[in-house]
Amino acid sequence: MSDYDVIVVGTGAGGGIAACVLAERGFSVLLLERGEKLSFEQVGRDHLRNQRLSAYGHNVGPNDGNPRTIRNGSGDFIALSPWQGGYHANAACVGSGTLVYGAQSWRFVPEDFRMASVYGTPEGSSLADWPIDYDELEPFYTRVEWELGVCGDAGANAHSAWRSRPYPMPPMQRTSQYDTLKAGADLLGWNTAPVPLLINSQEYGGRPACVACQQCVGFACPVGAKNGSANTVIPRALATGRCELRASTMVTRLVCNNMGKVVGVESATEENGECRTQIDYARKVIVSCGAIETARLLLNSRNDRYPNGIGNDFDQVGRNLQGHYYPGALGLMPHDVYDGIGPGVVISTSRFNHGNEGIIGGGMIANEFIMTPATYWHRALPPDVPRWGQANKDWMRENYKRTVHVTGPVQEIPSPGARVTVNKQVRDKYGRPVAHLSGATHQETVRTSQFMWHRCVEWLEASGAVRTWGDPPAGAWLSGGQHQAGTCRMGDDARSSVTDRWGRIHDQPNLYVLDSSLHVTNGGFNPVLTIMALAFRGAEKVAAELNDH
Amino acid sequence: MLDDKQVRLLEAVADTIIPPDDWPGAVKAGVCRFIVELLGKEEQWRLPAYQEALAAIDRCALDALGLSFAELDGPGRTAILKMVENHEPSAVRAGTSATWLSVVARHCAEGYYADPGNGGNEGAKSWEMIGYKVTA
Repeated sequence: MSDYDVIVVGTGAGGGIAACVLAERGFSVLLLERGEKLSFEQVGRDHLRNQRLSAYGHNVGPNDGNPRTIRNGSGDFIALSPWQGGYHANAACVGSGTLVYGAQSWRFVPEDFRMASVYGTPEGSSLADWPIDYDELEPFYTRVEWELGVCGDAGANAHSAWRSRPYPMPPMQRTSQYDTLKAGADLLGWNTAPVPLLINSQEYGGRPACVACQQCVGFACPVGAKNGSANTVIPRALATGRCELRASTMVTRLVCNNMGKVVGVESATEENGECRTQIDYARKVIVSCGAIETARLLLNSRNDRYPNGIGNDFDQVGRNLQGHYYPGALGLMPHDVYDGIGPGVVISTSRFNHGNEGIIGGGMIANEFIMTPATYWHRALPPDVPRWGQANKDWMRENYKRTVHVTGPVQEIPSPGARVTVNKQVRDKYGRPVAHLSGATHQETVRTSQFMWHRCVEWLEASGAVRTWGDPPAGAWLSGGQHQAGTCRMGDDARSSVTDRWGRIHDQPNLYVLDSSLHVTNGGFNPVLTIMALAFRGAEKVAAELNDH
Repeated sequence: MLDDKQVRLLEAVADTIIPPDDWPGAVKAGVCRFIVELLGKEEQWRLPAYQEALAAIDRCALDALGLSFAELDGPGRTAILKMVENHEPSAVRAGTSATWLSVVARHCAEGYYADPGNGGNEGAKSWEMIGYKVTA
């Protein structure tokens, strides 16, 4: 006998939508989240401790007691705190990263689902086609755009695919950076488009319009105009009366029957300084913990039938960890290009996502969000500007408003050696082995990134930059610090994938993954809209199965 | 914690790193208050290095220019920090640290440019200086 029809683990882009769909379809849902429910005030506006600049910590978790390990130079490992570089953090709170994200809401293009067919698979890479194509996902992209709320200009992007509906809201207002970079792109003959955002450019869904503040990415929204799972689909799920949200609850293990099939989850809830462990049973379990924690949970749920972890009979869980390289360049314009209108990211080109001679894939380029002054000092100063003295102060005073940063995510060419395993020698505060990250991306990712870096410089120069700076990426490393994905890829062959085309774990009738872990490749775009579209699609499949049995 | 003498010395260093002009220098902006707080929290592990480096700066100033660092005028203080940065003989003899200088420069910038809630950037003057304004 099950306590719930469905248990959903994780409240981010995937889990929030899954809970909403299933609760609205009439099923009882237990929605579990390791972090807390955080208000705008609790997230705060600390310019040194946020999800964009984590100099001494961050604002939405995970907190201490949740280390990960990476290899150090001598083949041993070191443990990292959640806010340190190399940890590859995703926020731990109700809404997860969608509470504080930049909210760029890109659709992948058809080639992104057919990378191996379009380019061939480079030696040493695990580049593969998705089992589904753009046309199959299109209705669900549309559903995200209309149900959560996306602003944009559907007609502007000459390199986007067909769509069944326009965006529900017009794009954000143009800024001086928009005009400056548009003029440069026109000179180069590049098509540009306003950046689509999961932000209300006007009142939508009962929530107010964006107030164009200067602390968007890395922070929560002061008026609730940023559309994440915490202010859209989760309230809808709770409004049905059929969804129970349990925060501060870490799922430590998937619980199996004596056939090794998942029937529930074991969790630890922190309340008033005490930790309570319990087991809940459900007809279906959906894991939406992000690419690293989803893989870790499957690997930490080993049992007699599945001694290598759930879904891992062919050693695929945790492999192909990928994210995005972010080549970019900064330019000094002859005039101020700052008008204080947030979020700041406003113009993009998809001209180089595909069709680059001799290059595998490519990526979208956009201008950067408004940088806080502290972030600018940390990340945007030219290398030859002194870090102290009058010259440094003068640079900040004269050039903060004249600086433009263009950058973008590069389609990763995945490597099977870039992976998540579990480290039994290091435990989290619940006593479970932590995630160990190892390996690096394929060299072709680096080559594509260098190509894209040149395009960034070219755009700045054509736009009138009197000087540019910022180095091209050199060397192969793990890139999951931004947009982690790929660790439980979907596929039709159980030997080379972890789930089927719906996100159901091969060999498990009732266990689904609905998050970025499914991504066979991660596009040359911010991936959240794809995570959300897959969650709508997968959750509808789960609902249909529940109705059939 | 830093004693009074060390705080005076830190103030002299901080105002060399972010000098006063039409806009506040580091001290007036509350940067030293920010750093002292930071050395009691997340950066506590750097406190011994801070104390040692401040003493070394003073030794370097006496050795090179015959005065303690705080007694020097602006150009003199800048000259000493340049010696530290460039590993010049007086600096090396005094045991100063170019690495520490880059750390204290970063701490000063954080105190000066971060949100006033961090204890520095009094009155958000640095934001006004560069043209950054929070509207909501």
